[in-house]
Amino acid sequence: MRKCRRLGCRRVRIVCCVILAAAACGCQNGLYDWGSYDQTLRDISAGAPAEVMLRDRDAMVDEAQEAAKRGRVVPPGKYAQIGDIEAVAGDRAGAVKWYGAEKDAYPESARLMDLLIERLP
Amino acid sequence: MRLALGLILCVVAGCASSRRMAPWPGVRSILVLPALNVSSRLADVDVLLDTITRPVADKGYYVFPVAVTARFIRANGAETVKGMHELSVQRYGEALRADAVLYMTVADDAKGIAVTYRLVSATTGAELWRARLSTSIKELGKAGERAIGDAKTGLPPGPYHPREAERAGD
Repeated sequence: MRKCRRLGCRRVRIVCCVILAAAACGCQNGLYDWGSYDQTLRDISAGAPAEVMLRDRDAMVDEAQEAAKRGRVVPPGKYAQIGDIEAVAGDRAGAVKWYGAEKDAYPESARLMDLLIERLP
Repeated sequence: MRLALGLILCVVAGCASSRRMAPWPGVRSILVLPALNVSSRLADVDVLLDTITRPVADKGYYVFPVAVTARFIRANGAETVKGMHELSVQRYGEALRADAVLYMTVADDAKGIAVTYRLVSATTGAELWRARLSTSIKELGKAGERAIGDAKTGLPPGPYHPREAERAGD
């Protein structure tokens, strides 16, 4: 009898832990797949050379493709940042493509993306 | 058992209390300007802009690409951070269709430095939200998360927040 109660108690405890963990997760919201966007921003601030920026772009492009495969959401600004690195590197087509991706994902960015595309050399 | 139930209730209540209504339905997008540095202890406050996107986006707002936007503004009018802060907030609303602008200012403080955050409507110019955070120079990179993410004094949830999306679908 006592053993049985103990087992029941343990099961209840496990169930409670799971519910608690789920509730704690509910408070959080990992909405986006950030990947290396943060690192890219730090590199820009540090005035990193072109080859570092192109490496950052490659990493973010890979992550964006991976996110699409896994149904994860690319965060606000990340597509545009890829486009901006392309623009600075002089790749017009790449810039248009990624600025366009930001606009498609987040219509709030449409005006800025249009202006950026318009002003590409 | 009773203790476990109590704990669950606490967590659920904790969630519920942080679930405030989004007070500004017109604010979907936030443009964050580079931080204005008026402190004497720091030469470089770039880390504030580098770390601001995540907490603001996680609260459910569209955050303009911080580095892209700063580069664009520099090339089209305001060359210095001071100049960017001095432009009228409505200019950002009209020119870039930002709903609100987030201003960060770093000043000296008894503990080290203090960062003031001000969210201003880009249509009316009204201040929507404000927070001030005292921090050490070493912890500057965590200031955004602490000021924006705080459940009570932080930014209230915006339209991309899962709960807001749920409400909109009801």
